[in-house]
Amino acid sequence: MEHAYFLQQLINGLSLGAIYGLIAIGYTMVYGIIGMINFAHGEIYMIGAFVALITFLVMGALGITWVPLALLLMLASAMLFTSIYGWTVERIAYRPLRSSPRLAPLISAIGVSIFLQNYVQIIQGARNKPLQPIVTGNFVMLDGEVSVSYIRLATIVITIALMYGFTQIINRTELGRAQRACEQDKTMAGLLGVNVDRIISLTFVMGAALAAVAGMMVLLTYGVIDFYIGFLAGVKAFTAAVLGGIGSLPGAMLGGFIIGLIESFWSGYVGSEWKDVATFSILVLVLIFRPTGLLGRPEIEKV
Amino acid sequence: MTAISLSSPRAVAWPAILREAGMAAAVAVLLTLPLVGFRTVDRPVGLGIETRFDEVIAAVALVFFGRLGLCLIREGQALAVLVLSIAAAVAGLLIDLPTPMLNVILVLGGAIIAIRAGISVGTHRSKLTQAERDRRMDRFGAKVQDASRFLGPIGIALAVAFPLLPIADRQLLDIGILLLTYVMLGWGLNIVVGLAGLLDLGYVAFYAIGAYSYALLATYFGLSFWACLPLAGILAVIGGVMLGFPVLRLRGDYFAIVTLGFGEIIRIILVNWYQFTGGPNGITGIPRPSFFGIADFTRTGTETMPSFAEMFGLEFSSVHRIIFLYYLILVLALMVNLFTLRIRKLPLGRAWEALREDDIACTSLGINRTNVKLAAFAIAGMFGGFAGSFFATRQGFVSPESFTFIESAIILAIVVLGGMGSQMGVVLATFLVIGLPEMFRELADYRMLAFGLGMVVIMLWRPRGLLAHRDPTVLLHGRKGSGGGGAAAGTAAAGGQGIAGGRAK
Amino acid sequence: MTNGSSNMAIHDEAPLLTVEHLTMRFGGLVAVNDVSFRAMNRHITAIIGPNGAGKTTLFNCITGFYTPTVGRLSLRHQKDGREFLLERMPGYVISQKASVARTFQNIRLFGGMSVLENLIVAQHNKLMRASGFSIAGLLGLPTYRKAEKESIELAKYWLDRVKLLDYADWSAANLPYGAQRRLEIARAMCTEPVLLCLDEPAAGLNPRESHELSDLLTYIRDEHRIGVLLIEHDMSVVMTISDHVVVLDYGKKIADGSPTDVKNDPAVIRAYLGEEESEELPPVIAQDLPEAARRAGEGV
Repeated sequence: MEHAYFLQQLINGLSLGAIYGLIAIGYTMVYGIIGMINFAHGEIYMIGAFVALITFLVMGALGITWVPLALLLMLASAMLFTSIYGWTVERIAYRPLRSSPRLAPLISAIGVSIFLQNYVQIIQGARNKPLQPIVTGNFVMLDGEVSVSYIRLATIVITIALMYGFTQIINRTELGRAQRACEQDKTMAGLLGVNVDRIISLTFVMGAALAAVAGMMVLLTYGVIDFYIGFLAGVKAFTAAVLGGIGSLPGAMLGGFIIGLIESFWSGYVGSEWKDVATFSILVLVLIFRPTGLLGRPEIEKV
Repeated sequence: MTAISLSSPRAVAWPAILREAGMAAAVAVLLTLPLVGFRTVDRPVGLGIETRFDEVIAAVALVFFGRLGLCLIREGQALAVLVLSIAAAVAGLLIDLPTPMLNVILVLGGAIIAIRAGISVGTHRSKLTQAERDRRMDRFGAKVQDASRFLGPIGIALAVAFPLLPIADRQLLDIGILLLTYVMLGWGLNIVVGLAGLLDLGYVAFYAIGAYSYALLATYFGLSFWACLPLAGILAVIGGVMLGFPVLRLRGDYFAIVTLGFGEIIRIILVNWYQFTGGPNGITGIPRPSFFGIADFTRTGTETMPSFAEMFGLEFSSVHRIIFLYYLILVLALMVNLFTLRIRKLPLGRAWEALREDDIACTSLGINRTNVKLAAFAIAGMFGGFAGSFFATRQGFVSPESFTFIESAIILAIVVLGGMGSQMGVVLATFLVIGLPEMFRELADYRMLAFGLGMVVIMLWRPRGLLAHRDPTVLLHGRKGSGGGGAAAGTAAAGGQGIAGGRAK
Repeated sequence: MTNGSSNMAIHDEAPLLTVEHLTMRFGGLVAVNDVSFRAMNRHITAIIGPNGAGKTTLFNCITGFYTPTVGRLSLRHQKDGREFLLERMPGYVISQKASVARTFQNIRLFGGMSVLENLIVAQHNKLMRASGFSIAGLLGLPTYRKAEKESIELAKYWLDRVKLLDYADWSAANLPYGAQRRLEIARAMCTEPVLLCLDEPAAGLNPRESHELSDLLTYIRDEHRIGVLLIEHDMSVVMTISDHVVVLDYGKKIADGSPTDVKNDPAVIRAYLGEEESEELPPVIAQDLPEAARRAGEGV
């Protein structure tokens, strides 16, 4: 009996963690390359979810009902448009402030976050947006005690696949090399012919695309979104990035899974009102006791 | 940048400009099409979809012409752009478009471009560099700083006289109290962010601790406001020290997020611990303040105190209590202001500012950074607690809704927009951020939107804040003696090494 | 030219700073490798060596910015004989209690504050005590006002010494480069240290400014009777004013002695000029080097 419950929470936790991990990658890549917390990243994820929803509704209106095609179009559409949002935000609100005092980009990011939240709220309305389940069905294990929905499973699988693909890109391709060079030393990379601005833009775009995938997964898994999901998910994903070690891609995934599992088990065994406190507390504890996170590299400050 | 004389339209490189504006418009299409073009609507059967392509076209047109205007300014057509953009802004004010949002965009967009064009015309330059902009704004800030020697006392006199003016009705007094509350919070946060350079995203936590402490002490122990006020302050300080102590050695960004986390933790506790805090409904029935414990503001007084109106031979009016509250918050706010002005000339205040400039150098001078930061945190927390107590007694009830992250963001915006470290700046920013929306209640929905946009725009334009300027707190040679180019120490905030060090990336 | 060797003979007292077997490891990299030396009071001790030799790391260990992996750093106050083990003390305590002051390679001034304010912040601890942690100051009590006046006097004294008195109200960031360097030294002296550590104070200074710096440092050594520890690349400054020179290379100490001894030490010359010198050195360089160096260069 308990095993079943445990397993259920485990699966839920992993799929939730996968979502956090996808968002966390965006945070960690941006921090790695320009040393800034992209406060608005949570809102990008929220926009991804909304674009996916709207794409689905448009397809419904156009009469496209074949599920695999619908899902594919939703994915492509969400990734495309969300990436453009990510690109635009970087160009307008962050790039001009690269040489400004450190506080300025952070304030700007907070401003963008508030703007995007309210932008969606005003345009799409403040109510929850429910969606009838598109991907239904689940595995049933242990004589019906545990049900693993396809969508949760798909989330985990897709996330791992994306993670693998990303790591390959970062480690094997020219683009990835340029990106890693920029993380180490932007000036030098620029002097060696790397278009630093373009790499930074690309980093934002990649992060946004992954966040869009996360948004779509959330839409499909939980069936309801609203304009406010970005804030909470954003802070939790950031916690995951810090926990895993800011700047480390596998760290972001690992952190995501850990946070997802903690949240799931806490909800399952303790109670759901305090689960957010648990997550925030983890953030505080990690930053106090091990700011470099689990997989991060310790930093020596040059005096 | 190079000085460009206003050239004739024929000399303008139209193809390049049109291409640039076209690209901007294309991006605008991609941005607005999915979210603005298609709207989800609630229908009985579920969600439906509606199209609003007209708004997409309007937005794209705005972007296209806006970009075109900016390019033309660059090409030397500033005067023409100025005229056209003013016309656009005026049109936005007068003509009724399908949605009010379009009017707003037209007015704002026209205004911004007009300002840009105006600066260009006025300075005969196509574009000011960041350094020049900083210098000009710094000079402006310096003038304001100088003027504040008499603007300050005038402002205080006006504030004191305000309730006695005939136009000061209940509504205006309420707005006045609201503004003064935010000014006090802004001045309080200024100690942490503006003076010490620590980015605190959870200041609302102190506000909440103060408010709830007062509420609980008053409702459970029946203590009067005057007893509760210092107690609430002490509790806020304790909270600040407990929260601050473990995290104060964190780097700027991390510290900011942790304070955000703390603010949220406090709020969640307030919502969920309903046996203690009343949960989402909060605590109601908080007693209203009396006139220093000797008179009450009700019509007939209580068993222990006579009525204020009776005591002073006035006709009873419910406004009396409001006026009392107004003066109360005025005194509290001025207390914070006075503290700030004095502490800057004392070792602690100087250490805060030095910490903001370069905390590693501070270590080399024997300054215990943690203690100094803790002091800033604790003192600012205390003032936040006082403000919270006031808030509780003014409203008569407290609930967790008043203490969200957005409140912290608003107070932070007030400090940052006004110019970190600038007392006048905080007042100005409060008027802009809180006062304006109160005046334009119909656009309430767009308040937060404009707020977020405003934060970004001000950061792009003047990263140090509108009125940021720092005069030295002690002069060797007196006011007139400060010589040439270096006089009156430059701009405040986040200078040199930035907030709490950090990687130069 | 100060006479290094005679100074060494006269002051036969306990050393001001004793560095014993100092090692600093960053992961696999050993930046400072078993370095030991002594710096005497009323001496200027220069630490030289090629770039990357570990000089600033050594400094950071002494001044508390790094915690050494291994080693002992003992500082002995000459006035009262108190000893401090610097390797155990956190950064700010080293300045506060052990009275060690330092300047930085990349000048770290409080740019947004005025020149005078920079010097007053340096006297923070003294003023905090006098003002009752600023509380007496808030209340306007006279004890603080007196202390503040005294601190301004001390600041004026040092501003005069470094010729910045007219710039007292200037914003520190607006000073020219050389003035900023002098200001940093003045600020360090306002903490009334017993050991002054300077990290490349002559970097970027023209010959006239270097000369003035040398005068300033000898003045500090002679009139204020403290010890000075100095990282420097400018050999004219080093050779002119140092009483004692320590040479590092790849984290190890390769020479230790008077300036003249070190100048002629073949190990030092090799470290700076490299092993292989098969060609004859051009006369312009050769005429500056003593006989020993030329022989070493020719591989004899």
